[in-house]
Amino acid sequence: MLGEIDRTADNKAVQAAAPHVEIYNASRSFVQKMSPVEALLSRAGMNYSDRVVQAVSDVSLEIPRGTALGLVGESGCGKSTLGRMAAGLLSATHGEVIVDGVRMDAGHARMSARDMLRVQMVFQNPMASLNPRQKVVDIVTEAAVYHGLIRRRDRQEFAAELLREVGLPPDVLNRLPHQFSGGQRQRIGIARALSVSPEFLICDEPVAALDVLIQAQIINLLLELKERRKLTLLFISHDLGVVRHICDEVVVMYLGRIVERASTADLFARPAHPYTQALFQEIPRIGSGRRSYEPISGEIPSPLSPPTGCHFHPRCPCVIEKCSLETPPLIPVGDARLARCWLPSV
Amino acid sequence: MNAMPPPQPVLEVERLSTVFDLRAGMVRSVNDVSFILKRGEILGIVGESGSGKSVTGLSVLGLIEPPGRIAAGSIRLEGRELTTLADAEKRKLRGNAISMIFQDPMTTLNPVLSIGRQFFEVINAHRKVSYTAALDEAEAALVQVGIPAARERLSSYPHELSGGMRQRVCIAMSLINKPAVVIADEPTTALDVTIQAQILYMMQNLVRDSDVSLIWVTHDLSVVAGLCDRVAVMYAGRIVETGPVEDVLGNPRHPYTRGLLDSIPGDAEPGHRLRQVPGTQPSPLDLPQGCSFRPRCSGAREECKSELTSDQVGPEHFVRCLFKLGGD
Repeated sequence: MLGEIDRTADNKAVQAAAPHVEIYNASRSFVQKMSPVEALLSRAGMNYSDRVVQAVSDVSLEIPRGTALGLVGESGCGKSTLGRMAAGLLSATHGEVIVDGVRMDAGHARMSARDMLRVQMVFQNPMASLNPRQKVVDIVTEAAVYHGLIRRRDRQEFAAELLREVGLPPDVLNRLPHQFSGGQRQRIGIARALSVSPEFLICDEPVAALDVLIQAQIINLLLELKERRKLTLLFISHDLGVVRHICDEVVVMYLGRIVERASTADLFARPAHPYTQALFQEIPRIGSGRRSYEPISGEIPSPLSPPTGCHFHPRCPCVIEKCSLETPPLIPVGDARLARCWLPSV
Repeated sequence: MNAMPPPQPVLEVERLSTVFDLRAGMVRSVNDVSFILKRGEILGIVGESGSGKSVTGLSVLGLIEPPGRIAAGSIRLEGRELTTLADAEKRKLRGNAISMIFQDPMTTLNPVLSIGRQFFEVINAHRKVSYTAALDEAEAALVQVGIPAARERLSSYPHELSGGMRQRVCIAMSLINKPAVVIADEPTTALDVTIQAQILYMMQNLVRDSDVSLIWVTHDLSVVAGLCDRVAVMYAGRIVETGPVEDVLGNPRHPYTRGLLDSIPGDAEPGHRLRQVPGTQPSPLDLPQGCSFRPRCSGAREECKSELTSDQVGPEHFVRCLFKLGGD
């Protein structure tokens, strides 16, 4: 039923060896130009310049086929920007993002539609990401029809099959998004992403806006789909519990940089970076009961003017002099894990 | 604690029902809800969206506007009945004896007034003070909630502060007139985890150091576990289980509370399916007869269609269920 994307035989051999997704030294900055007045003042010798936000700086990672990578961090850490770069919605300022051997580049003329269809995205807010005036059947079949994966007259059947797969009854095909609850809307969003048979799915906080019982339903659905469709997942979330449940490997970001990368089991057993440790300690858990928190102090610095050296040093409990002067490299600590810290604790 | 004679509760809510008269019918957002709040205590009210937890908070503050109304029940603050008060009397109480912290500090604060000016308004509404005296008080309050360079901050505008700072300002403002009761409606939901931890830590200390009693409305059971003394779990307008936090979360007797706990991914085995509760909350216009949780409950039987009462199962631990989950 679903339009299969055909591939040549040697392509397949290459894919089996290489990771599904590779990101090399990718950076992305956003520039806010000076206003005309500021430009004049700066020419007159005053201290004005374009404001540059380094949203993602020098990130490298790879995701093996069929595994799930979690991307964790607080607001402003660049996790969503990195997700959009992986989806080909934003191009990298430096470095490259390669999915299935194809370089992702937003708006690049050489990228074929078929390459782009292999990567799909599920967004956080299911109300804002669904067209409120489109019926469900149109939402989930528009892309497949446009790209010729199905014939227009097969739409109803195709949509019903997709909805069944994401756990919605087929009799809702002609309804509009506002007639659904948040969890059901997120299921529609997932069905839309699946409609073009992607192999790589990027989920940007897909359960953050949902109630806890509904969250559990969507997490279970994603786990099932990952198994059944052999999907590679990039799972962006601020919720460590959700990430631990779904992901095989976790990357922790802080102000645009990767601060730690490890397998989920290792990371949750022994976090190496002080920031990761702080994240773990500060999550209230059911089991821990009532206790006094000892939260790390300080605010998240503005990405417009990040601290020198290690970005985390103003808030770090075990800071040394070197931390404010030099940026620590992402170095191996133990087996197959990396931390960006002068004093990693493993 | 049980040996001592129980002190007079600060707030008593008895059989409160708040309804909204809509064209489509009457919605019972809060249905026969009773609870007490003791002095210096933190009570968590937990539930999903639409469970009536926010409306309960707003009812206590007298902020229910038409088409909503308090249909029945009584709310007593230090022995004084609130439901029958005139609007002018209610205004004297709000921000004074009882105050509120809302979820989104950006919409709570006035964007075109400086922080200091807004503090002055809050104080001046209840006590005659000079502007400079109000600023001194405000500065002390900002220091108390951990805002650095408090004096300078008083001349800032809300957009110049980060989300966490704004919420601290709101908290300082809610405490400035030394209220007996503060109602906080999801105050940390919009914040990052490290900032959330700072606010929770601060609230615990503030409550410990003063006489204030706190109602913390949230959807997050783990916040309740870390912060509250007692908890009330709401579902479809009713309190289904209430009691000390250790009892309710450690030994839940209502299937809904159990379901909430099981749905939290952090404590489950990674990679496996979470134990999920099927279905969604019933429409408030069309609540099932008897127990509202019945259609989603695996242990539901025919008897659940009858009207239920809340049964005591332990000290201060009440459950509204005919077939309670096993005890210890």
